[in-house]
Amino acid sequence: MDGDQTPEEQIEIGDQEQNPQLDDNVELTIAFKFSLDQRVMEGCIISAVLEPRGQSTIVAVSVTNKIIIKDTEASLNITETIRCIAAAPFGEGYDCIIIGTDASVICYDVHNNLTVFRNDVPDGVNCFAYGKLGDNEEAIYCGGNCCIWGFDRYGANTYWTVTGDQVTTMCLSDYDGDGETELVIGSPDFEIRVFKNDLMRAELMETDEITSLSHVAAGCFAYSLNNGTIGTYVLKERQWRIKSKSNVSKIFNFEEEGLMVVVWKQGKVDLRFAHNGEVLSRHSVSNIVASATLMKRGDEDMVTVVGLDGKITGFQIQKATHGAIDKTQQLIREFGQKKHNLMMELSNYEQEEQLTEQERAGDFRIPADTDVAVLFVVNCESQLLSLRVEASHDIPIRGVLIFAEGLFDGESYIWIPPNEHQSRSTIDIPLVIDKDSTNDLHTKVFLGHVDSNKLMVMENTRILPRFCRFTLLKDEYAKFFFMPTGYIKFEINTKAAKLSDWVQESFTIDSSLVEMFDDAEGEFKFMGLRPKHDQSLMFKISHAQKTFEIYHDSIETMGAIVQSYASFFQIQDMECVAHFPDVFKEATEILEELEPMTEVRDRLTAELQERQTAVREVIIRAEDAIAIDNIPDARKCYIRLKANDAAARQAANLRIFQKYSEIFRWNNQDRCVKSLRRLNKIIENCARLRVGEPGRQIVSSCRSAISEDNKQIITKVLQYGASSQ
Amino acid sequence: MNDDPVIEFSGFLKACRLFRENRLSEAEAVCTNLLRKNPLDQATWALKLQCLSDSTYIDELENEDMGLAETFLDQNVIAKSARPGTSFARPKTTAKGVNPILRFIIAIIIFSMSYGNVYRFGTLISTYNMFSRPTTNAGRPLSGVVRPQSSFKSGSMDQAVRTARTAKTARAVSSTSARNMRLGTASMAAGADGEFVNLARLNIEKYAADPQVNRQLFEYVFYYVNDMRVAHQIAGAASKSAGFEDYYWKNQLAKCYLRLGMIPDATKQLQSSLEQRKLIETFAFLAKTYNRVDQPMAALKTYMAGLDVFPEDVTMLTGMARVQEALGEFDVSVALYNRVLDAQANNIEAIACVATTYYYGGKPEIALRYYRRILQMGCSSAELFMNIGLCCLAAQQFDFALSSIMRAQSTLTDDVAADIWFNIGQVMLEVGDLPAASRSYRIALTHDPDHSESLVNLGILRYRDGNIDEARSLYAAAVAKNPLMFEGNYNLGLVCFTQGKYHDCRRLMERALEVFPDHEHCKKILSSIKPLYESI
Repeated sequence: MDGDQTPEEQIEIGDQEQNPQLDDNVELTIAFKFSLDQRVMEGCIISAVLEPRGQSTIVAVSVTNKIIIKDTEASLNITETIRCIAAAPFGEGYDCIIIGTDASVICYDVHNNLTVFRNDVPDGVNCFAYGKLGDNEEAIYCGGNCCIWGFDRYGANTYWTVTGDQVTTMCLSDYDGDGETELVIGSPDFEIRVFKNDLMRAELMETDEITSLSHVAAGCFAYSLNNGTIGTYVLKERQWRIKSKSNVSKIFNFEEEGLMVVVWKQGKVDLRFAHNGEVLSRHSVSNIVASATLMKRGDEDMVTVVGLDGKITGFQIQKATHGAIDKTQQLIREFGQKKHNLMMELSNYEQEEQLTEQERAGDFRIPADTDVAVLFVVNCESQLLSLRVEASHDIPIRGVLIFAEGLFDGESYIWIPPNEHQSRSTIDIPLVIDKDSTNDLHTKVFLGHVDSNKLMVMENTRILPRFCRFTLLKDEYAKFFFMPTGYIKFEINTKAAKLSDWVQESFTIDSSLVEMFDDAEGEFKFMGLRPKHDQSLMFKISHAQKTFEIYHDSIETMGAIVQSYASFFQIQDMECVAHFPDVFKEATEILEELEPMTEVRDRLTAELQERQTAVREVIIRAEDAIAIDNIPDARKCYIRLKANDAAARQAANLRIFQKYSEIFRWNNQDRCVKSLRRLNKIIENCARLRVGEPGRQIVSSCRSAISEDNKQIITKVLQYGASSQ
Repeated sequence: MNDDPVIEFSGFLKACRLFRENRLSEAEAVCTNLLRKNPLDQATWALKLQCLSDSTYIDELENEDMGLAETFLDQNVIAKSARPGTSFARPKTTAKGVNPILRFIIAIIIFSMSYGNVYRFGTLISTYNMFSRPTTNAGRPLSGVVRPQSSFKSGSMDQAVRTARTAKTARAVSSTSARNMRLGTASMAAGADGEFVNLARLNIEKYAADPQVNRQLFEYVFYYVNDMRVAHQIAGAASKSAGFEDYYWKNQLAKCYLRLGMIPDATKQLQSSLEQRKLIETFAFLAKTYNRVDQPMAALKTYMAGLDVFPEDVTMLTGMARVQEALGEFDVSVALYNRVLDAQANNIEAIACVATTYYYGGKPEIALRYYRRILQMGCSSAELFMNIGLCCLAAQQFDFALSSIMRAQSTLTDDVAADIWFNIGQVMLEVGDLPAASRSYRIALTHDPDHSESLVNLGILRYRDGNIDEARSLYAAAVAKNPLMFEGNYNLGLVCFTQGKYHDCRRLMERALEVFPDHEHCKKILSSIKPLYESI
């Protein structure tokens, strides 16, 4: 499992000017090793300075839900289930530990033994990021399910916004290089989202679940995916990425800007350049990594890697003592390789010249002007979009290889005729696309006669339009049009002069038909293609009334269309009226359901607490009875204990309480969280129907409406926008 | 005959008058009569509720009773062993090395103040060596007053269960069952025809939403019936119907949560209440919740915030002083008590604490003046006289000392008898009358067989007489009664050492050192035992 040894492929995009070359004669060496003697929860390790003028120490969460602080015998006891921890310098010259549980955020000052704040986060916290976001004060940002909370040092809620999916990782980085930091979040739905203040700035589509994000250099952040890819984005562009078979545990920047440390779950530790991903030095630990962090020891930064078994290894950076790579040697080798390649090519040409006519004929050459056309075709009858590959001169196609990110299972698609003689010159490859995202299709077409032993490779790149699963409806297929019930209506911005440009870029449409989108009035129906072939789309444009109506049932797609429209015409702010009866009804239902649920939860907890007290009392009484050797009484007590909970049968110990709480609260709690998540999602979707400031306002006014328990207004806000209040 | 018409109130008005004159039972009787005629009269109903709850009213702020269950099975505390000085479990140890054989005299002074049902007591411990404060039964530094809250956790649950508990010293098993339950049942017996309000059949939602009666109903359920679950339900519903904007209901909810042991919820309610209106009570409750989760620093912060809003407020200052005292910061604590006295010169708790500090600071004359001040304010109790007597003794005013002690003797009540007799024993010891001293200790023990201090001192006297075995068994009894007692452990250890039982000695000395980490003699004995172990 050492896939990172040999990167399978390395794509470099945008070769920025090289950073001032760092001293690359350095290597990682082991500085210290010790063990926490406890099994550690994955991902829950931080280093923090817990005392004024103190040294940084390791703080970890054990699998028994306790917080362990290195070098102190005691552990911290948190009643709720811990999900993540972080450190934030909220103390005077030292750090407080921020603990994210499944129901709240706790900020605890170890030095003074006090809880700085404890705030409820109903659906739990998955990750933290500390820092200054835009023009907000420094705060701790907590990523939950579909929403992000920010709390300042006093526990005041300074930030709240919703996002499309669970937040699994976050970092603060200057994404667009404007000198202000943005919040970068990663989600399991393959997307990296960038928030500028509470406005979504960008969405970056990746190919798998985002597992970690980290700011590594000015204007540059690194990401890692579940499938083992790591890479960086610099100023809006992906700079490089490398794929490997193993999984990343943690990425962080090291020492100077421009270096980053990648720690893999299997125990490898790489020191890489942030600007090109080149490995500077690597080392490894033998255990499976839980997480890693950067710890200061004196003036030196140590890469501290913690294994699941609690073993800690520290690495320091130092001048390479041996095996340093000699730069000149490497350069000579590279040139040698280049020379060899050129010589090979040359010899090929020479060989060609020496061939006789006959030999050439036997080769079944294909004509020099052979061309391969790659186009999108729609089979209206079956509502299917296909990629048509067509070779001129009737040359049979022997194989097609399509490479497109995230479009197919795996990353590429290979088409080979079932047997050689069925090769045709035209083939259709069905594209069943689930996501709305622009995609580059890199096709490689292998051409050649059946008997030829040489194949010609034609390369081609096509851009798949973002909404390629919609095509203009032809009159004869009107039966495939299902009038959508949901619609939005907005004013046509003066910037959006030529609608046809956008339509052509974003939808599957014949370029000859596109002109009609510029007409003053019009109703355009689109047919949905597989897999969502029953969802149709309709535009209604009236330049006289300056209105643009879009009819479609899926609110997610609608949001994507609006965003794409706005970004194409560079519209900063856009308000609209939305009409999605089903979604709004669901929102109202959730809101109505939520209230009694919190109440029931409250009452259940009170009841539970009363029972717990009873159980505790029985335990003490039993202990009492045992202390005076009154065994019959003790037995009576234990029988009563048993009656309180079947789980008490095994042992009369403290754990009963926990079991209690789970049984009683679980059902209700679970439903409550699900509903909340759904509500956040709805708000997010509705916000995405607007662009810029109006979208942001929707989120904030929904937030205040929920906290003020003002239910009626929420649907109104979702429908007409925040300014309607 | 007198022709002047005698104006007599009747009906509801009469009940109101009686209630205002605090003649609760009479008012209640009138209400009962009225309700018999018209059971649907809400005003009367509410008044009766008020009468009933007022008769069992407890100041929740001072109700810090924590049962064993709460103390040892509590899961709300984050740090089990925080940095010393930031946790009640680990106060700063300022004790100096004293020869404990010389430390004998312990007296307890208790002031019972009957203010509503507030329980507040005062203590005083005097030692032969007046420069260090002894510790209480539970192993905590002694304070000027005894408060229920001072039953903090120490040692393990096992130990606490095994510590002798009698009817007098018993700690309740849990707070829901203990005093509260007793109060509840006691009040229940008063109502002859059973419960006044049938909570099970009461439409809680309806009455809780009615701002005319919900407060009375809540107080009735909370103080009189002691049904926390229903009280919580009422407060929750009332808070909701008030649009979550009534600080009163938030505070009541917090009280319920505190009683139920849901500390984080209580904190949340109080913080939200403070956002609406800053009240002394809210600050004090918030600090109390922090104390419950063993976060004294947070409590101090809360008191400070309270002082910003209410400068020189007595409740805040007293709270701070208590916390500082519990943390072992006696200087800070006394400074705060002095501030309390500047603001409220008749605050008995503050006077007693300051006096105690002066006494242990080697200034018995000044302490005497403070105790006399308490006496002047109209408080008189056996403990107070005893304290005055001890102060006089220390100030060489023997005539006055003896008369005070005799006064204490003649007024003593059962619950303090053991302590008073123990102190008399100490005085006798100082006078040099050893047989009388020994007799006094024995009398103390007849009053309270678990009085471990008397056991130890009696043991010392026996040891002096050469009765080593008897002394040993007395020490052993003292240790069994109070495993945290330094003197008992040390003295028993010393006997073991002289008898060559080095293993027992080591164990006892180590335990003694836990209480008194800097005790020179213990360390010396341990270090002299060490080579014996190593030579094996």
